[in-house]
Amino acid sequence: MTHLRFIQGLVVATACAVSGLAGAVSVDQPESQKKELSKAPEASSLEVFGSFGPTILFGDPATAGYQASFGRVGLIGELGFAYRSWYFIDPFISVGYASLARGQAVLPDGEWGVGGTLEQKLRTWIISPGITSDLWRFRPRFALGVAIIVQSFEFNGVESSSTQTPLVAQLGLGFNVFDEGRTRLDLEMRGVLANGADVNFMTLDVTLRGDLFYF
Amino acid sequence: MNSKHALLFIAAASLLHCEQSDELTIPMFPDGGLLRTGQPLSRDQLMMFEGLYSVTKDAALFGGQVAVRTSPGTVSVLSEKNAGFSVLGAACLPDRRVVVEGYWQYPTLLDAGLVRLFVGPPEFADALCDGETPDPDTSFELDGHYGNNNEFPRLPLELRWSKQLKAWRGRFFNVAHHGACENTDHCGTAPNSLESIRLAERVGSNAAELDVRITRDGIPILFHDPGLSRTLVRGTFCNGQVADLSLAELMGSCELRYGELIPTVQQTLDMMVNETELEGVYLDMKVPGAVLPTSRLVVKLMADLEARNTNSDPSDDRTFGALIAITTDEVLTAWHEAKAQLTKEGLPIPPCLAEQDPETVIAEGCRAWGPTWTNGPQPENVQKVRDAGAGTIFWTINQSEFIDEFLTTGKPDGIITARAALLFYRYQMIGTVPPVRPMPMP
Repeated sequence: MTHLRFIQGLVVATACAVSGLAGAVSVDQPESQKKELSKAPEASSLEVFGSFGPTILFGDPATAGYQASFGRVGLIGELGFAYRSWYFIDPFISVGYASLARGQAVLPDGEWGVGGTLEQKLRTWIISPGITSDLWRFRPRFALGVAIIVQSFEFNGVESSSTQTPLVAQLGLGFNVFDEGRTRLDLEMRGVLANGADVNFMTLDVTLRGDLFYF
Repeated sequence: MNSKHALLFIAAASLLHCEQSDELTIPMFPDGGLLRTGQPLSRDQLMMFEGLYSVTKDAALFGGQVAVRTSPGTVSVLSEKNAGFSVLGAACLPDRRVVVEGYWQYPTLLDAGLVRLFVGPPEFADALCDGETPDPDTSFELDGHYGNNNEFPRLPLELRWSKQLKAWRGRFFNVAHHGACENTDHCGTAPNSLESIRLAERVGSNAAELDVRITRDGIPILFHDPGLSRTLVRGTFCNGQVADLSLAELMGSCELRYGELIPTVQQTLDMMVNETELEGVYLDMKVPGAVLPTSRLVVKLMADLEARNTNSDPSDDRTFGALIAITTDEVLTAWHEAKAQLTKEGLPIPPCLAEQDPETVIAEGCRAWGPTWTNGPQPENVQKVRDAGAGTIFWTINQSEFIDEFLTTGKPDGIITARAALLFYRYQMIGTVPPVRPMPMP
């Protein structure tokens, strides 16, 4: 629940920031500049965006052992900034957090001591610079960054976690469903590949984008 | 395609990662074969099958000559060609024929198939079905067929006994590297798994080299790499470093390549002693922290074996040796600390093997030296160690020409290999029976 609340908060904050900042910028702009804005995307802008949606983790839990339950559907939230160039490539940087999977394994008594239920969780932070582009109503994006993958356990009251920091690649394709000048809404499907840790997942995001200011 | 599309295409293509791994399913007779209908031969009866055999029909599979050895419940045909082997069971059928059937395989290739042979001439089969154990002679043969994959065996195969095997039990150590299979092999078992160790003696080994690491809660386990890489393990929650996870977390979250559990050293020693005829284990200490807890397990094993071998029941006697392998200077320091701790507790010091040099072996009072093969056969050093009452086990030699060079020049007490069938065969052909036992036998 903590992760869910965090992601929800992230999205709400993003939406507020997008609308608030966009509004603040527009208030301070003279008429001549407003005319320029209406020409977007010919003008360059600094865009803030936020994404939120479910994730589906690839791979399976260990089945030879004692796995009792497993959930591969999680949630991702992401916040980022993009430089919307007059040229076709838009560089961006984003920070995301995803709760990827959870499971339970029921262990009998063994060399580890008394048996019990092992709670398993997998989540990740993703810090990714990348590039994106508007192609008609499609918006492909490619990013290469670092994931901080956190695997945590609880067994017989003892909690532990371990962290890996593999490279992570993201490949996404968004479809613009709403474009209101300085505010846009996309639906996006994305593959996130952290092969170094063998953690790969797909997301289906709603992405809200807004221009903070123009150049 | 304009530059925009080309750039995006390149970006997409760079993400594509194509990994193909061919896997082999070990062939089996679909109905359990004829073995299912017969009476299995006893362990003593299986021993009569051991020997060198001429391949009198179809040398295409294993070449012109093979070695045959046995283990509990199995007869193994071991060859030079592609390090191929055949693992067979033997039973007396209701019609008083003796069938020897199972599968053959080239471990490095995706080639395998079924084998069905019958004991001949009939007087040998009669004797076996009468519960006798006849001595083999040059008329003893295994005649039948083999096939490819799961096809019914139709290609002729005939093996004729030619002579007894050279002494190998308790003398020359054919040490299975990580168990019977390398990670790149297609044996159906993962390296450092109990299943791979069970397979080891069926493909020609009489000892195993296993890699020991320590879990976060201090329990020695078998695992080669420091990290839980996908070349070795599977599992959504099986990520990170071995040393970061407790045993419970590993057991609940990880499985080896073919679905096996990661074994603990305790489980491994129990299985090797009680379920196999393997004669020893070379416990490769991958981390210094594994030395003391593994030494305690070996000390306990030695005490258990001594109790078994000195009680009034000779049927439970067992000869088995375990060596703590000192692989690095850090492990050597941990070994000194472990010895001090065990002495303080009034416990005996377990036998060791040092990989460093002969001087370290002698100074530490180890039972064996474990040099890398890359420094050559070193016959003078092998003799130097032997003069000090220890043995030499080279690691890790898989190619026929190097196996031959080391067998004829170094004349060691053992070799670690992933090609146990090949080593067994070449030792029988050109090896010299070593005078001492590097594994600590009671």
